[in-house]
Amino acid sequence: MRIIDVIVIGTTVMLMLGVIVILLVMLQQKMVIQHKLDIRDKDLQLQRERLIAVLQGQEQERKRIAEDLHDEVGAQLSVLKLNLGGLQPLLKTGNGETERLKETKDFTDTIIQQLRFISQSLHPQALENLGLAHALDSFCNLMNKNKQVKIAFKTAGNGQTVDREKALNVYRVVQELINNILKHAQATDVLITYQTTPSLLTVTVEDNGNGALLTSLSASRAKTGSLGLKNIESRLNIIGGNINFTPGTPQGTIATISVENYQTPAQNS
Amino acid sequence: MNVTLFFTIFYSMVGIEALVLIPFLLNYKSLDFSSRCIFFYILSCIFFAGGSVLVERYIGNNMWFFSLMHFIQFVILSVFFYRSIPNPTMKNIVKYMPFLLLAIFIFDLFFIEGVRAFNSISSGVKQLVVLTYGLYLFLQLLRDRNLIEKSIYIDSLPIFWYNSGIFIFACTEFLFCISYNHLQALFTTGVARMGMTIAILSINYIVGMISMILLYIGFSKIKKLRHANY
Repeated sequence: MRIIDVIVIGTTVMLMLGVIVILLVMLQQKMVIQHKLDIRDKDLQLQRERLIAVLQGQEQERKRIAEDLHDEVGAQLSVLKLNLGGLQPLLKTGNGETERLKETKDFTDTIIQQLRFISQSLHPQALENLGLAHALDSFCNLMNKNKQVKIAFKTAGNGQTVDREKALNVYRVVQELINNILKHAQATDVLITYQTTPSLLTVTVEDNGNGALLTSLSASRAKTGSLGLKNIESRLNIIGGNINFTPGTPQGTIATISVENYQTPAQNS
Repeated sequence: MNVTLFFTIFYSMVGIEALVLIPFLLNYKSLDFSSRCIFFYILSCIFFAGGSVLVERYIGNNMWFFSLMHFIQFVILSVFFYRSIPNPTMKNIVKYMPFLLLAIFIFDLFFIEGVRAFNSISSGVKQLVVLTYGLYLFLQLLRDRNLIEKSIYIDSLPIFWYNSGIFIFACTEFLFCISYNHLQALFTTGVARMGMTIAILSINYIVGMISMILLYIGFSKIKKLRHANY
């Protein structure tokens, strides 16, 4: 083999080696990044699973407390109310005993009412029995009894049932939003609108407050320890939903929760 | 190999170099330091390609001009690698290597191979050093934790493409550089055929074109990074 042939072959080999080195560098770095991304994905998945487990545990505990309160304390209070009613004919008149007994009965009634409210807030029974729209309606009625703010509920749905887990999370998000409105917004009227299409569930919470909710939300986003918004975001993240805050006209805030593919898998297919 | 075809390849390479230089020139003010080094590298390629033709036409032997070209290009590339390599030890090596290379070039030009012959020793050493720098920079990019943490793919970086262009050209030129002096000797004695020498040169010019395209890809990556607000 002549020297020129060696040079031609050698140059070609060197060129190919150069190309191989470049390709190997590119591929190797891509593989390392891909591996890193895979690990990050797995980590996120693990965190998500943990969060779901925590929330499920929380819900189970809430359900247990709500049932205990309703079935045991509630029942005992009802018995107490009946007993107080039974005492009425036995009382002497003239010394104000009847009035005091009536006051005690009214006070027992208030405790029973508050107990129902707490029990309902802890675990909305209507959600399991009647679905999200009815549960939200019942939540509004319950809030109207106890608070100064007037909460109206409007539904424009076609009656499609929402997946149980998604319904519970949306319910909790609405609950959290109403709590925020009561705490910060100084609103007098709140309107909850419930809308469904075959693929999208939209719940809008509109208030006529001072709009401070928007600023308090952006401030709490920056804070690390803000649980309210984190809860909202985590819950919606789990069910693949999202929330959007916009200023209301002429005042207040509009929070729009939207969840795609909200129906149970069997219904979707 | 046809001489006309050889010159067509040569002028095509110079044409591509000029074309690639235009976007660098138009955006010179917004270029980062590495890209400016590449701009001067391409400029030197055009200058020495044109210059070698003129020297050959008006003076005759242009071999000394190639030595000058190799050294000046080595200085430009050293500046590029000096700014691109973060390792302090390697930085120092890159910083002082041109002085060593200057000594080798002068020694080779005046005492070993002479001004009338191709200086295979100095140009071979130059290509070997550039190859080493290129490989080192690839390894450095491969190990860069910052890129991996931020999931930045290496092929989205201008510096990777610049290094690829330089590396691939150095790979091809290395064997040619170390053997061309010997080939000239064979050619003058009539042992070697002109056709094969032209073929080797043509391969180098074609790879030169590929290398320019890689440098242009690097330039296009700066534009993308700028659009992505980096």
